[in-house]
Amino acid sequence: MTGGIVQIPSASDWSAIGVETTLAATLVAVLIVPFFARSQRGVGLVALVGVLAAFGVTLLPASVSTGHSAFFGMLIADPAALLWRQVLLLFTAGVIGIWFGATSRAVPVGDAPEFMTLLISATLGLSLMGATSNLLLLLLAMELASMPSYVLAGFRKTKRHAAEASLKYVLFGAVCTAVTIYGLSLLYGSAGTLDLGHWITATRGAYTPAAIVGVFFVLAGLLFKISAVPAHFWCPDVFEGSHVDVAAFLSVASKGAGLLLLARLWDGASHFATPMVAGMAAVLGIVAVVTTAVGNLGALRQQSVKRILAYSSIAHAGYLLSAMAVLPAGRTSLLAYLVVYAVMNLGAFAVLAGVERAAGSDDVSAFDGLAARSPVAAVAMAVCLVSMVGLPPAAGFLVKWKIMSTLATAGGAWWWIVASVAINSIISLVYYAKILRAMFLRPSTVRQEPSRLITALASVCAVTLVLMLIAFAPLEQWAASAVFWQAPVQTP
Amino acid sequence: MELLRQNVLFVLVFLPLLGAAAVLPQRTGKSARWVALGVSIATLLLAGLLPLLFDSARAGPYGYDDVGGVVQLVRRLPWVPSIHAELLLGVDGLSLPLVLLTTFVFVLAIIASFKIEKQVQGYFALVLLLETGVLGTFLSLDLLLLFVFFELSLLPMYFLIGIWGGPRREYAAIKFFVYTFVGSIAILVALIGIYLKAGSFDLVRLPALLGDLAHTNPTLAMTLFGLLAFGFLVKLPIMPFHTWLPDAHVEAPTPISMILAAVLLKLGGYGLLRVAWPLFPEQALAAWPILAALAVISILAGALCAIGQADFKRLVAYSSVSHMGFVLLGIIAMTPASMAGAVFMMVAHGLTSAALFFVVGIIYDRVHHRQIARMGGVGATMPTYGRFASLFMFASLGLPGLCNFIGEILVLMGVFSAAKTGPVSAAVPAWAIYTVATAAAFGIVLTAGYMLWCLQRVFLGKPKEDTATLAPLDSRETLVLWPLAIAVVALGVLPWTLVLTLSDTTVAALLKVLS
Repeated sequence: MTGGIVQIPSASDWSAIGVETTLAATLVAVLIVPFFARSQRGVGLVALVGVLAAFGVTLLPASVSTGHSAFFGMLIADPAALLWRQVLLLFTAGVIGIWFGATSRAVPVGDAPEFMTLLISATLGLSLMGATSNLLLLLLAMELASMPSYVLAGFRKTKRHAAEASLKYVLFGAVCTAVTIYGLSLLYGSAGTLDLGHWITATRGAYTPAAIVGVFFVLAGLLFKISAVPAHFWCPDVFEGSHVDVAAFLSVASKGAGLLLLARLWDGASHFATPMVAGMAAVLGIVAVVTTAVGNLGALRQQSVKRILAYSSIAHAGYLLSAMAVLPAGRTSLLAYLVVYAVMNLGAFAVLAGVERAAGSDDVSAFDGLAARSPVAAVAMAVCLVSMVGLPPAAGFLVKWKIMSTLATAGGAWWWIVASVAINSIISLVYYAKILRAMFLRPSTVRQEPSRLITALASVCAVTLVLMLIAFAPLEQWAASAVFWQAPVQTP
Repeated sequence: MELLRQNVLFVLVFLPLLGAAAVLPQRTGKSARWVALGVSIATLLLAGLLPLLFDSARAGPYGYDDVGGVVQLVRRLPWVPSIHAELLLGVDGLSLPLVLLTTFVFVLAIIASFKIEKQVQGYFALVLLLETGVLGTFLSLDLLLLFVFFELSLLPMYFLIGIWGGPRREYAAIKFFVYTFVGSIAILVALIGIYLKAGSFDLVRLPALLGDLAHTNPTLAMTLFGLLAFGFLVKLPIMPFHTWLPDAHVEAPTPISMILAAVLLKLGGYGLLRVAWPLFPEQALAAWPILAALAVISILAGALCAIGQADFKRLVAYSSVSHMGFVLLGIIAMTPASMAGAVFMMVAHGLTSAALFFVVGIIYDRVHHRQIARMGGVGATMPTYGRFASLFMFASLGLPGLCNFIGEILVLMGVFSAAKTGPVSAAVPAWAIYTVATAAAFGIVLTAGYMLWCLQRVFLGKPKEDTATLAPLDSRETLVLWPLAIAVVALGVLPWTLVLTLSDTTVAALLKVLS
């Protein structure tokens, strides 16, 4: 923070936003390309290349940082932010893959540029969410992620469901954002600094009443992004109303960014052993248990696979929040679960997109006889679902185990959450098995099969899940190395 | 030689998995069948090497080679270093007989499956995947790895029943899945507790690592034992957790019933012997009255249910419940004879139940129903078949000279002797032990009752309308029946040479851990 009145960003500052710069360039490219080529798929291809290039940027040595702040404390470059960007970008590339394999044929001609613009700007916002603890940038990033998401949710312009979904999402989002902003203002008022990281370190776990209210209001906004109880109501309706690729994107990218941001803030606070921190952990634990139960019980009665996966994503938010509650010990479990969750959701949504495209419905009955029509897609879907239940031979088993054992290590009342995760796994088996049964045990009702691209994408996910079970150590190391960096507190 | 000793178990476990990968791309069902058969025979031959590599005379403690222990051919590879979970395989006298049984039954089941016409490649791939799961469970000495394989055996079975089963296959498949899964989750929670207390998954070292838990935290120890025992008792199955079994058996195709009864039930018994008992011997003693009651109820009520069945296959299924009661009884008595009896009983039941389910399958293929009341005089219309069936039924009811007799007599002798020696004698009054043993012995009478009555109704008397003209056994059926018949007789005549000599030292070593 030293220097003249005009501060010049240094090279390390620019390296901290390499990904965002690449994405911004892609945005421009996606808007310009249609002037030269009218092809839908050409636009998709440009977007895909841009996202993959952004992923390539994360692999450059300059992007690796043990932790430093950039742009005068606005941004944080650390291993956790890097891991999140890598997961997010690969996942977004997968979402574009789903778009290619299924949705691109349904969109009226001329929509691809809009779709890709919205998708990439949302990605840009989500990427920033994982790399800041500054109040202003945090809010901007969340809004940059939310605004395009609202539009994406209503992208099936001719469908009434889509309009309903989009409206619900906007209204719910607007209320949550308002509450968040109010909370942020309270935090700023009680802290006198824009940097939440500094504030958390400085308060050492003891908060004023105003600050506590502020924390809960900010938490409400994040729970909306994570789709956790009590801010989960939008999730099933929005998933049902939007395209499968958008639903997939929201289920992982949006949720993951919220989780990472929450983890970054809470990781700083959870080190302090004060009653308020313990109370916060308890609140997160209760939210986790309720969210898991609501997600799993809600899924039981659904007939639409989109809604089933929506409720399943709520349940998984609960599992992730269970690990969140026991930060800092739960960080590795949380991040490892997030990685596996991204892979299994991508695979499941890819197959769903293919089936919906082929059968014209996202009902469970649309999956009837998928094993006979497209055995590879059915097996890949089965592996992803089995992983979601938390059974071998997929990595979902080990990461769920890791969450449970982390909670058990914390001991005491956390054992109740272990029991909750165990019981919920049994409940979840029932609705995942419903899809398995349709795919393998029922005769086929439709002729079409998912496209080759979808099948390939889902297979890659399935194989990755199995490989991650056999070679769990690298995944675990990756998650363990992704620490949150805290800027040292400046003394004026 | 050293290379072989190091890798034989890994190859053995994963050979069927490779076979499954080789079966899937086969263009015709015919080639898929032969590839599957070839792989299963190769696995059997490889398993046949184990008794040669395994030093059954080594009377060491329950430990690895470094202490001259009974657990041999050990190979460890890193897996999840942060929680000390390893890819750890090894074999001892408990697992070796079951591994031989598994590979043997899978070959016969695959021959029995040659008539399957629906999605042949998928069927055989799942069967081979199942074999990997079962062999992995028997050979894993890392608790987490054992659990992974245990679960791995669950899904193929769900699909095998659900896709290739009878009219109510969906119901039976999901019932099987949910019951076993609930048991698995109980085991999983226990696993976490064990790891937290011991910091290791090494099954052979865990008894020493958990030694103090019974005194420092008896409630936790009892909870963990209860969870483990519940999980494995569901799989065994023991009444009242058995209701998935008759449904699964009735709906499953014949070869899958053979595998289910012969091998999958043994996962439960093996889990008790390998995990629950060595880790928590004192809790097992404390729970003796409940466990003994469950065992006796299973023996008697299972037999009574079998008497009441009108469906031939359900009758055989309930006889499994009754026989598994003997296995549990042998395990809880904790004497050398009863433990050896439990191991022997698992192998013997594996052979007779596989044979009897195949016998049921043969008649079902011809008359297309399984109602005992509508059968009769089959012995006259199919004389060779009748002779085989009688042999297996006599073996199942425990006729001396055939295999089940040895198992039952060892278990009963062991239970009676438990009143005098062993850990149980100190904890349980003698009259209770005698009562349990007498009640179990009465179970043998009931077994004889339902088996002979069934034999009489199906095979003797005058042929009824349905069974008046039946095609004789074809060569494929004979090919399955002969090896089973030979094995059933051989085990009855040479029990020591064939099985007990393998398990003897391990049972002795395990009992040292238990007392």
